[in-house]
Amino acid sequence: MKNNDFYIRGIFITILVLLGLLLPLVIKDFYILHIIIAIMIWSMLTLGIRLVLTAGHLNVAQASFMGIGAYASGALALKLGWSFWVCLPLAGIVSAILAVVIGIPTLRIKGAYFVIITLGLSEVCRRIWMMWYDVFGGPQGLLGIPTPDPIKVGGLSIMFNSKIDYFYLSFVLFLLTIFVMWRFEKSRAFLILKSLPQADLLSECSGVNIMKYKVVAFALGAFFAGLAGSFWAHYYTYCSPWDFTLHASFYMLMYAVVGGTGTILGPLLGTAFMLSLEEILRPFKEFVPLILGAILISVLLFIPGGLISIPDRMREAVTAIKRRVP
Amino acid sequence: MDVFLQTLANGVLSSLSLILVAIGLCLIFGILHIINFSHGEFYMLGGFGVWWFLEANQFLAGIPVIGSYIIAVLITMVIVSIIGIITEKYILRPVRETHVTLMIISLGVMLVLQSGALVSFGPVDKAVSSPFRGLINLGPIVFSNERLAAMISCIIFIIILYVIMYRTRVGKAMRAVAQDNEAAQVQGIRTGKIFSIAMGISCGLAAAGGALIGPIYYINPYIGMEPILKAFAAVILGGLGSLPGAIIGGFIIGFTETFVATYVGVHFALLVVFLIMIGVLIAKPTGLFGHEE
Repeated sequence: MKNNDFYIRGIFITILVLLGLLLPLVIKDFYILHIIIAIMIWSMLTLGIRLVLTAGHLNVAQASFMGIGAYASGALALKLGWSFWVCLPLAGIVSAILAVVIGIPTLRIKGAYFVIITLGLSEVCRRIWMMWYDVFGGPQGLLGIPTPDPIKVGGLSIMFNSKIDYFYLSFVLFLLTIFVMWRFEKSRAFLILKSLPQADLLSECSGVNIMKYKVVAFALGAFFAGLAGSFWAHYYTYCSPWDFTLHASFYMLMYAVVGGTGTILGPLLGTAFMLSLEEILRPFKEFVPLILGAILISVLLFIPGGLISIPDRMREAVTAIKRRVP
Repeated sequence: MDVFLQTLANGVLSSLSLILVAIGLCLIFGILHIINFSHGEFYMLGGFGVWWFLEANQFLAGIPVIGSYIIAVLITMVIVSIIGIITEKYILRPVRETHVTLMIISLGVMLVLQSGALVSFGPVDKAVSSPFRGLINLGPIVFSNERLAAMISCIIFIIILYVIMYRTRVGKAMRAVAQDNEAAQVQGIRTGKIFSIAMGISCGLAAAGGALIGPIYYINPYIGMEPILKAFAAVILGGLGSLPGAIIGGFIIGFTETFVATYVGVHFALLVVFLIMIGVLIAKPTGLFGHEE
């Protein structure tokens, strides 16, 4: 039975991936394609936030880790002329190393301190980017970051001169993130992380080195943020300190929470929903943050599980009604 | 030497205004256990309140300038306190049980208040003409009268808060709730009421900060962000939930900032502040005066 389930899920996922691959053939509008790319990249970031949130910690520097990836990759490509394909993994690794360095002292303490340290970190990062003209270009940021080098697969060469090529690249990164997160979700480490908000002392007394797992989760989130940042920098061909502010981190957090942090699908749904909503609401200009904030508050007050939990809640409501009416 | 003294005097002002925000933050953390991200927005609303009463509408035209300024500050404080109390009661309190949700919901409140101010007042910088004009010479130090007035008002507010917290029954009740919510409830203290009072006081103080400092610089919907970052640093330095800690933390942050800005460079100020904060947290995770929960 379990085996059967596994195969069904496998076929289902394969079909979804194939559909994703065929998407650019159907959607010719580059504007929509761009939004889909944005949704996939932001999902990578919100998934990282969700991982740390599972352990009961709030990371408000996710945009900074994205920025660290973007700047590392951009500066290496621009100043040293390194290829994108070297910079991309390096960006992830730099972010992850920084996360380990910051995580070891700060994840020790429960609650507020980690939030404020990450808050401080995002401000420190922004100031450093603003002030270090030689390497990071100051307030105007890095301009003219080269696009990824063309790759040749057999007779086919991908030039990275249209949105479709970037779509496939982001799709690969997105799938990689989902795959790693999904594997992580099935591991013992994730169970331990999940136990921490309620029973960290108990876990620790059971001989679990909880620090190790927290740091790994934090670093994993930062790694994918770094990858996303590197992609972003080479996709837009520039990056500036104003792209990776505290506000961006708040938005990521909002996307994750609105979608629901219980499952992997939650942040994906939240990101897709909120980003699309932002695009739809664009004519309303300055009212947009007001509406998004109101949505965040009402979701937290009335649907604590996030949007992803709505079907479950409706099912529960239906069974409750059925029970009452025999 | 003159530069040093002048910097010292400026440091006192920036510390005091920072302390007004920081003690409110600290009070809320001690009593409600919230990291209230929306606190800076109440500071911003304070600035806008004074601007609204004095510049946008001429409600207080008949009254002498200084009198109308004082009245505007006090009315603003009351209004912002009421907004704070409503926010706490209907948005923050229902999710009090889970800390992470509480922090995220306060982020939502921040977004709503910030964009609410943007929608109603517009993004352009606003200036309030100060009722205190002229300069005053204290030996080698030159000080504008409005800064001196802001400084004195800050000190008065801090003293009032001290009297409320340590010399009245309400203050005693607040300290009891901060120590142990349930035990306080058993003693017959209405915790719900105490939450409202604490939120009201802390939002009122933040509004006072905005109303006093706003006219010295300028007012726009985004001015709440920087004071709250610095106030977080101050509160963390002093130890979360400790009022004397917040005051000392405020002085450390305020002086560091002004001295670094004067002697090293304006852009380095906040950077150094945060590096100090991160350093202290790594060395002594509970802050200078805090204790482990």
